Amino acid sequence: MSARESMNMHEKDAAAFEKAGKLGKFGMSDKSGKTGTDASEPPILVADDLTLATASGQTLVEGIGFALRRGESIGLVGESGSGKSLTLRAVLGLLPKGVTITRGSVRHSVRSAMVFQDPRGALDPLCPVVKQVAEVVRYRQNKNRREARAEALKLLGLLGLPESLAREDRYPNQLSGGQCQRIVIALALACRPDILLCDEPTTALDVTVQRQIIDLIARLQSELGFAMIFVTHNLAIAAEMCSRLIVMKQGRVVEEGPSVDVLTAPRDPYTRMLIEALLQLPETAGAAGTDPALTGNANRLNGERTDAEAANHPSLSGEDGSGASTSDEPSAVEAAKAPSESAENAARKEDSAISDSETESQFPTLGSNTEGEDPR
Amino acid sequence: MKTERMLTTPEIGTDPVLPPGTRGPRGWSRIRRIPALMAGGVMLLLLILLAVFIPWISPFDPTAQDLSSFLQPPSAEHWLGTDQLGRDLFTRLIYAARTDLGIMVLAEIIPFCSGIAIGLLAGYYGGWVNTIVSLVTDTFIAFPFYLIVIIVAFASGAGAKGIYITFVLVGWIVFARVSRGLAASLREQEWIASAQTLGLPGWRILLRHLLPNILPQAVVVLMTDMVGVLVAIVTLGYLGIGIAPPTPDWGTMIADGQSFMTTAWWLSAVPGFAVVYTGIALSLLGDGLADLWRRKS
Repeated sequence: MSARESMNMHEKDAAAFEKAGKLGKFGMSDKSGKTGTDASEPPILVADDLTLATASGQTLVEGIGFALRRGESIGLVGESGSGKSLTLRAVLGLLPKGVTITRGSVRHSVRSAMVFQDPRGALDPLCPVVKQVAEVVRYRQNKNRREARAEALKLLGLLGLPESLAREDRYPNQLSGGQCQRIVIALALACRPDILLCDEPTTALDVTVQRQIIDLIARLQSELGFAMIFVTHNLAIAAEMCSRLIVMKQGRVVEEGPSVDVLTAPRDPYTRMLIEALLQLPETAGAAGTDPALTGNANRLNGERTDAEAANHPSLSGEDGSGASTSDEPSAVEAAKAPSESAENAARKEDSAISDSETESQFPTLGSNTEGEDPR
Repeated sequence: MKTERMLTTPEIGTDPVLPPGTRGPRGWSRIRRIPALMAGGVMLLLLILLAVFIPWISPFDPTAQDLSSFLQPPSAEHWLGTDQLGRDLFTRLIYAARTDLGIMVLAEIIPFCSGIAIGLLAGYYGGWVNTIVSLVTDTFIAFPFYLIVIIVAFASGAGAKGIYITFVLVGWIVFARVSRGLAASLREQEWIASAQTLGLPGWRILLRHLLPNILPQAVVVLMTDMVGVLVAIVTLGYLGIGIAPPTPDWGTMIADGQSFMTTAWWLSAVPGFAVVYTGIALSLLGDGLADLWRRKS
């Protein structure tokens, strides 16, 4: 969503101004008024020739450099082991044992907070969730116990968690994966971050819940105006969330640029491969392929390829469609959401060189495993 | 209905899937489903109730001698008979439970707390703290436990004091080892890293997050360890370097009854059985608690 929004940045700013009043009570609105990624403004985070290596001398990430401005989102994309998560952890100062920065640096003078990949794993299993959020509010915002709890409940409301949590606190194992991820995001937001670091925040979730979390993060970003580094192996999600993409392979940057350019005119063969690796729903493949907005080579290839696969494996279409959703309810939500979404899409299509229907239809499908990608 | 709600409030984005009812049966009904926990709890409770109310249950004084009626077999008046000095065996048995269980609990308090504290610090912070703690625990484990107990008991004189000193010295090791291992493995979990990046102070992570997560296992270990402490107390009593007579104690009772094995075998057998009974109760309780907490998480 933010990719689209960054396309029409003026609209986004207007929306941010509008929402600033509403958000004043969370004390986070001060930045949202100036979220425009103004090139003249100094970046809040600079990674300069960042190189990470193990103690035994094996280089894991080599010479990564990027700058993040206020309110901007950068997507780090690549397959497992490409060093994207490690880069993120270097930003957070949370490198695993034995991995050190051997050259270059990451500099930032603002608060950052991280949203982890596995929401359940990122929560204390024996501590009720409201208490966990309140605890962070208490220590990061210097509040007393009562204020912290009230603030925590407000945050949870902002994140769309059920109000019943105010009456009865719950343990992480009593919440669904999506709800846990909302809690994890609430924990991160309780730090009032200027940069939100997202380490594959949707990978461990059901596809329909992925959609909700993506929308949620995009909405929060437009409302609260934090900058974001979004790590994912799913190019479609990265393109949707971020205005700029950095494609990594084996610890090096292979391509970098505005999301639109990277997607429509990939220069590096690896990027092209990543784009091709995205599966489409067979029903929509033809339609997307003939979309006038998609003139890129890669997309045509993509359409053909999926058709061929669908022909070879008739069962694949069923699996892709139903994917990880196990109950009927999520599909009902999808159906319910569809009208409003498609209206939005139609309105935005003019401005965006990426076809929304394309990303939209690609989204529920999973990244393919063809090129040794290993979705964790 | 659901569709309508989602349409009217598309921004709320609450998961349509309601929180799964993973809570399951709570409290009492959950406890009742674990036979080991029930059995151990009931056995121990029975013993504790007897020990607490023995002055009202039995008309006899545990130390009052009545040489005119010594070594009597069980009867309506003396439920378990009398010993060689004419003291009521049942009364002494239960008063001995007071002594031994009391010392057992007291002797474990300090080792339990200090062991967990040391283990948590060593496991969480690692580094040189961990190295030193490992070194000390390994050294103590190399010594035969009873050798240390007997040496300290002799050095500090007979009575409960020697037992307390011994367990303050060596009792913490088992808890330190267990909690160190647990803390070290929990530290690798993402939620600890998450708590650190969220800026919670280290002591808070230790006390409010790490400790509750290791406490269940530590309590299970405590239950089994208490059996060991009880056996140590009884052994010292039996050897004559533990609780001094005339204070009733199962160890001295077993030793005293030994001379009358052929004529009044129950004098030794009954306190022996009491030790076994308590041991079984504590072990069952430990198993049951482990089971309960495993099911919970």
